[in-house]
Amino acid sequence: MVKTNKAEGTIINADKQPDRKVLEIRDLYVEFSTPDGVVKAVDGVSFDVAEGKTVGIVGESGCGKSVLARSILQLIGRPGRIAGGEVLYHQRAEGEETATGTDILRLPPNGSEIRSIRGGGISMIFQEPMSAFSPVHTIGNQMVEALRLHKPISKVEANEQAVDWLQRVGMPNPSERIGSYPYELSGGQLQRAMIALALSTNPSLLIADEPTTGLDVTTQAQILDLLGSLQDEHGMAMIFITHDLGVIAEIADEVQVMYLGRVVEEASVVELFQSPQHPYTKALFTSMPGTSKIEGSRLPTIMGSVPEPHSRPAGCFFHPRCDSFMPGTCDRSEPELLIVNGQQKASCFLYTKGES
Amino acid sequence: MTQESAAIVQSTDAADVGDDLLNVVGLKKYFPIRRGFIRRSTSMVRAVDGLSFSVKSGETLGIVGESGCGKTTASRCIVRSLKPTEGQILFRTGTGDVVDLANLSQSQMRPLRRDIQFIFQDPYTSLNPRMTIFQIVAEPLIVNKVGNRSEQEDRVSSLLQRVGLAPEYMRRYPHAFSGGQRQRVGIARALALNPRLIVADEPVSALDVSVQAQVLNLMADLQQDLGLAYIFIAHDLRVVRHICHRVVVMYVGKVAEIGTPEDLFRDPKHPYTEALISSLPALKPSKGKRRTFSLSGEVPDPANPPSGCFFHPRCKYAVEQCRVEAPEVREIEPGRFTSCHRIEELELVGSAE
Repeated sequence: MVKTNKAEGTIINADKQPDRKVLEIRDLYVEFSTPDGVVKAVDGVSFDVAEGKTVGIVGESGCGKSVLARSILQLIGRPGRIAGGEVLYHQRAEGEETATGTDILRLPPNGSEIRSIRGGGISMIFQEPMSAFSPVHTIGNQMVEALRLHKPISKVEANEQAVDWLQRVGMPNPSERIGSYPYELSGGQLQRAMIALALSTNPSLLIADEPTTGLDVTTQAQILDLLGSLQDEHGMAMIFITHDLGVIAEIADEVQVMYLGRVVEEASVVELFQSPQHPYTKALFTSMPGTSKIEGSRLPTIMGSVPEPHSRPAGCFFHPRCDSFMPGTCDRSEPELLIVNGQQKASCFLYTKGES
Repeated sequence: MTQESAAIVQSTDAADVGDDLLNVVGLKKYFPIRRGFIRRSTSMVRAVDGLSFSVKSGETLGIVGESGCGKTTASRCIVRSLKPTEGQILFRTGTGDVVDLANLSQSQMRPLRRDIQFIFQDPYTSLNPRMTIFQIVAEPLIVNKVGNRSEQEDRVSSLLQRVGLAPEYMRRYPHAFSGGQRQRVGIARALALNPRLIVADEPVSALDVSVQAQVLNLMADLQQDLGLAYIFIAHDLRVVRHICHRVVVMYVGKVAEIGTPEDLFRDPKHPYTEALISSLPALKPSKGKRRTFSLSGEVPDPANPPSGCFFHPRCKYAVEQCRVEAPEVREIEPGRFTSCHRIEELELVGSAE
């Protein structure tokens, strides 16, 4: 699988069952106890990730998107706690798939099972590559360590594979760079090294938490192209977290829009860009410079700012900032995430008025 | 204007400057790299290497470029938190005199600091957590001995209202505010002394989209009402396109291109601008579609730049001339400057979006 050429790659894609699920997230709740009260960082989120597909998670800071990503691998430290839900992981097996998959959240957090999934079956790349690498070990040592944790290979073989991967992610002079320390590389190079590290174990799912935020647009374009072509090549699934709708447009198949811990809209990327349904999604689009029709004029804004997560408003969390706020409805009860258009779901009373 | 030590050029000589508020001519800032026991300077990082542009009153000039292109260093030279190595920074003061900021001492600079203020990128680190909002916004007034305590309170309260914050907030500390609110505090502080030029270094890049739009609108309103000029440094081309009247595209300390944002987007006149535009994520679903082309490689080290045109190793149009001959910035149409040797023969692709 690693050395799939283009012809074989298409065959693999052809005989692959359509939409084989790699990960199913069911009613995930993550809470943080803070002096100001309990913060429900992730509040009942469910979605699936299919093989070869990318689920984009978009939202502003504090919406819980990073906590969601980390909780999939139980990487939530105190005072955080996974309060409920299931994360079913279907290992990419040669034979038939198991009916239910493994519930990652039930595995002991430091046990051997979850440690073989972390970095093995499911890899993660982070926003700041500088702080994700150990500063006192070379890139090569860190890659070799990861490879040998997950594969029974010798140091020499691991080193060869590491060089091979650095080459594949477009690192200049990989055989020299493998001896570099993180501080010797630029942000873009380091992000490439992290992608090489994450993909070297051939994971079936890659979780990317804002991997291009803070990089220049040119480097961002390179990294997005790289992730796209590696996905084509290996058929891995991706969960891609970002606050940038432009990035979502380039990389995602499905999109989850999050606001204060909940998914407010779920749609395919085409549906989302053609006809966003939730007022929050619509507002995110219009407040981006370059999307409004009239250049040079004022940008439409969302009034106010994201509320404090420990004192979320009653009813629909977005109602104090919403243009379509309906007094008596939106501030009383909480909307459910329901189908509003084709396969597109939104949690908004605009689409359920008249019913019930 | 070439005579030495002539800090203040009489307004009669100011014909060269026209109606420009600021005219930067051949600005250079080199940082020495010191090595060895006696800290001998072995080579120079040419962070800004011959930058020229002008800013009119009430105008927003954008400076864009990748990290390491020298845009921040240039802005620090203009506010004189750095001393330029070479070049002139001609600034028209409130009385109409033209002053070369590049050669002023710190004490000569002090009275001019009222006119030129700075807005920082990160609203979380640019406000002192141990000072109240009043102390932060009033600090320029206190330092410059403007008004007594009650006048200062009135001024701070009207400034806070001006940037959309309740005056009651002035007794609170920065930790009680969100990123967007803190950036408003930073803007209020910059406005305290009625400046005529504000240098804003990536003022919205740390903010969420919804809040970013609010701050951009605020800056536009302030410009309209107070006639401010901005130097707006950013890496987000869409933001720049929205707010700027003219844009300087920088590459490794030099000007690649200058033009209006519409011109740059529709009809770029430098291959680097073309590459920047094609790297922008399209705002429509495009998975699986490859962009027209993307820039490979990295920004060169300004301590050891390539020969000829600094962009040639990454430029797909580079020919022998580009490798050998360093290009000059030239005006190809009124108001449009480029430093590309081959621009007349190239057909560059912009963005219709």
